Amino acid sequence: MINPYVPYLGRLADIQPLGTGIKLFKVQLEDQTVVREFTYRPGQFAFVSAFGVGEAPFGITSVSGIDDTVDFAINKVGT
Amino acid sequence: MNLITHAQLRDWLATMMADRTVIAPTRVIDGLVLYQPVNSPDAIAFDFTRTAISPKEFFLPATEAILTLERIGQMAAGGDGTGLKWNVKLSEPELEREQVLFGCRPCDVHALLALDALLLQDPVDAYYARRRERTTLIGLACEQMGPTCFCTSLGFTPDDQRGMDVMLYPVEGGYVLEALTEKGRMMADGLTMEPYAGERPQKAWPPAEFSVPPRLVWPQLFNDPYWGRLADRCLSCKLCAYVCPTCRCFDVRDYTVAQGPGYQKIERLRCWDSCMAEGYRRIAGGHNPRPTKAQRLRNRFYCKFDYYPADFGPLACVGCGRCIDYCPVNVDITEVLQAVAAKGEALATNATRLSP
Repeated sequence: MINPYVPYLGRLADIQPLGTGIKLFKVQLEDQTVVREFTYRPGQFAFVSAFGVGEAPFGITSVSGIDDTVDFAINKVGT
Repeated sequence: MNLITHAQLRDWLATMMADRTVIAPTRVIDGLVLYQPVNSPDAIAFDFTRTAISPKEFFLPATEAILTLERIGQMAAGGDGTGLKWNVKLSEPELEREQVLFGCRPCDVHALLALDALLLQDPVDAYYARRRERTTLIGLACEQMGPTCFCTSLGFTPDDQRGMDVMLYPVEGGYVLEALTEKGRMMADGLTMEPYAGERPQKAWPPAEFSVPPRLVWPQLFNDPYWGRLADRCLSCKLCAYVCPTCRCFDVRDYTVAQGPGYQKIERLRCWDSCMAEGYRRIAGGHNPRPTKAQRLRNRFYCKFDYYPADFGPLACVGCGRCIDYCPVNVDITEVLQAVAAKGEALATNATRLSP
């Protein structure tokens, strides 16, 4: 049984500023099987963890199967 | 079916306790019966209608560590001397011992069946699923309904056996025992018991005083001022969610439990949350779709009788009546259901009158 609460590990490949308080975080997933098999559709979101703080849902910005990284454009709001 | 005497039951429980955690109703103080792990059959209470809080904590604990994360920093090759490359190791909690939930009531097991509709559907909640799989449910049929019980309004009776692995019906001198599943048969295997050739001892219960209004009625009453009047006295104390066997919302947060140079150990905890909390639906940026008590209290009833059955099938209420017993301001779910039914009927009558 796959445990949906176990996150896929990845590394930040790049951070690009997009505007005031907005950044694009490009994540390179570590597990090659996941990189091949993890697909998603426009509008879906992922729970992204900041280890030690927690996890929160963020919409996925990149396009599945086209981009190498999984990207999140994040606005600095909330806690 | 078999007949098990009180003495035989005692022996059976003692055998179970040797290699499993047996959770059973215990009288904590006079008037307070709770499900707790027990070490001796003598600790078990048999004279109660239902426990103060539901046994859902043994399947969905109030607080549980769902992951342990260890962040280990290593000097990166070619780094500037202070640069560390962090690696993360994730580990899931150890599986617990096999459990037996002894003396569970039909309402609480119907609640597990309702939770199964959500938590065992894909993607399966691994922690709930493991506990559910490792627990044998030995049910105890009720002999009478409590003053706030209303399971009969929800389509089942206080001696319903659905969902149980083994069912016990109290009779003179002991219980009629019926093993209902493979798990139940294995648990009862080897027990010395007399066969029982009579009818299954199920009683004729009085007819339900009211029934749950159909799902179609609820959307029509969404903007009714009734919800505002009802919520005036609500304290948002969340006791209703705490004692409820079907409430299941939770929050997830990380806590650092150990830390040193190049090392951090984090526990990811989940704990019970409630839609009664003021900030339950608040999102980043500050917007809150349910800023008033009226909206939040309304959500409680809509979730149970409209949204949950629409999404998953069963109602998210089993008529146990605990919320009625413990609400400090006497918000009574049976009054709400009857008010909604009456308003629904009034709307239907008016519609008929107005149609050509």
